[in-house]
Amino acid sequence: MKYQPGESLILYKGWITQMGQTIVEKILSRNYGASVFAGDEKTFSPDIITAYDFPGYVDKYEEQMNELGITQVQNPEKYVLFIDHFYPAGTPKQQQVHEITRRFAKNYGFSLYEGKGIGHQVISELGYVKPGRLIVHFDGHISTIGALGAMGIGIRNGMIEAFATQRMSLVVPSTVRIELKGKLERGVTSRDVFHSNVEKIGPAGCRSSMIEYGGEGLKSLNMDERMTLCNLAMFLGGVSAVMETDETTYNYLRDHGHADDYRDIYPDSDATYAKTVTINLDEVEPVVVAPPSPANTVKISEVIGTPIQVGYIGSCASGRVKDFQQAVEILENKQILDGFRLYAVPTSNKIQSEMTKLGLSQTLIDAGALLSFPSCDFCIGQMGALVEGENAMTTGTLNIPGRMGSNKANIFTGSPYSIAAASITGKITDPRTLF
Amino acid sequence: MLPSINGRASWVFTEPNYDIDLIVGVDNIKIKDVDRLKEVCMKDYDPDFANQVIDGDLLVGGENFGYGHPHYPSFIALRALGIKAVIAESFSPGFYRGETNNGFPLIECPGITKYVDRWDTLTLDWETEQITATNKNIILPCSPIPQKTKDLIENGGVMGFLRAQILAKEA
Repeated sequence: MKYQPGESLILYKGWITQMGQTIVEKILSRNYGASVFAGDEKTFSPDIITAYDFPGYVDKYEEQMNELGITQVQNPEKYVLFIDHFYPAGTPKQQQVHEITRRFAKNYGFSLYEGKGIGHQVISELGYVKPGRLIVHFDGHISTIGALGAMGIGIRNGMIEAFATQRMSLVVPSTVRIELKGKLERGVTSRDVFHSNVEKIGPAGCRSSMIEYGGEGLKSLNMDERMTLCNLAMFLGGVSAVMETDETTYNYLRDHGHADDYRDIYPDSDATYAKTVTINLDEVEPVVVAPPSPANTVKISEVIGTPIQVGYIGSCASGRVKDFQQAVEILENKQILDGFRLYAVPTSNKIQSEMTKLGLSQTLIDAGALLSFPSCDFCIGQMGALVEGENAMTTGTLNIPGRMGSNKANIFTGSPYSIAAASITGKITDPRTLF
Repeated sequence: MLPSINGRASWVFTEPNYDIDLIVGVDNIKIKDVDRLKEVCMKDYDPDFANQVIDGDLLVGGENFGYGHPHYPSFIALRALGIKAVIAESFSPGFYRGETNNGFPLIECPGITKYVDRWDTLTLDWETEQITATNKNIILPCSPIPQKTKDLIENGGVMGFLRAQILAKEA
């Protein structure tokens, strides 16, 4: 099937709006069944309720459901659980969390996916995400799915309300429009785009707003790059992020077998925005986020030469085919420095399989990287932990002290190009000097 | 009934994008024992904090308070010390949802850090949604407080809210 541009999402019967709407206003209006606008406080019914195994979360929800006396739910098909942390389990205690997750899913009839990769990615591959949908998780990185024109929102311990009642209340957020123009230069990635924007508009630049990406520049980014931009929404203070859909969105869903009832979603031309930020992609340069906070973006030139001992390419933010293609551009026919530890961790099994088909896995292994199975565990120091005094450069989500092991290790986040470059030189290096 | 919020500003965090994990310190973020958490709470700001605060005291915060990946131990410690609410310029949305669902009041009050100093006495009027610094005779309007926030706080958190809903249905 071929993409037919311009088909707009049919939101609900009798759709009449007096005022133009942003994408999030459209998504929430469809969900609510009447027009809603920024500032309206309403109760919504998420299309999908999703969570992953993590001590203090899924085990707690099971306890809370018992405490509330809820033994069954009305639409179990709306619930999707993932086992993607501590996988495969390294201790009986971790296996116990998996056992609870399996039991919870079985008792209530929830779908469960185990060992397929990181849930924030796999949920899109499996067809749960479509333009216009509303999906809730406790973890805010569910914003990743905004790349497909859906709204993924992290509601933290409000999740028990969604589990128990399939409802959630929300003040419809205002929207910050991010208009992308131009095209990225070689050696520059969507990580650089996101983190330079944090530097430009500040870590509260989109506070409590939905981030809406669009414009001609967006069309030049592939789905992997788009997911990265949406994944990190919380570090601009955003409630979540969403993107205009286009042929790339359609093709992604078609290639995964989920494009049957495809409809585009985009804002009205007279929608109201809290503010608009324009980013010229051709002006973006490589940046690094220095410890101790995701707010701390610096130009790569400011930290050039900083010794790095560990690299990690992976996580729900990055770790997709495009990320490894970028790393391989640097690593092809090269060897990583003796003693440098480079972990290459695909975000999902599907991605891992694609990497193998494309020959990326072979190049990474030949260069001396450790190619892992898909996992969340490197990002949280559950695997590949750092010790005191080590400096790592990663595509993980977060660089706070203690995130990947010792509180006295330093985590720099950067692009796959920059990590690959550091793995060859042993220090922070502008990747563009190695092409 | 909504809890009375009337107490001293036990600390004023003026810094924007404040990472609340720093309240107990990143080294202590995995501590589960409440007494131990109370001991380390705010140590980097005022070593005598635990002895100085009294039940009913409040905290004042800046813009985007709670930015980053907030963990729960800091507020477990603050609650155990008697802190009853945070009044801030604004909150990071994830942190706001998390603590509100725990039944802990987070109130947005633009301008608060400009007018309020440590140990000022603050009172919230839930009806008019205004903060009064009683010792200074200053009244500041809050940002609108969502009804759901009030419902969650009135019921002591999301579980209390859900129990009340289930009881109402059965009645």
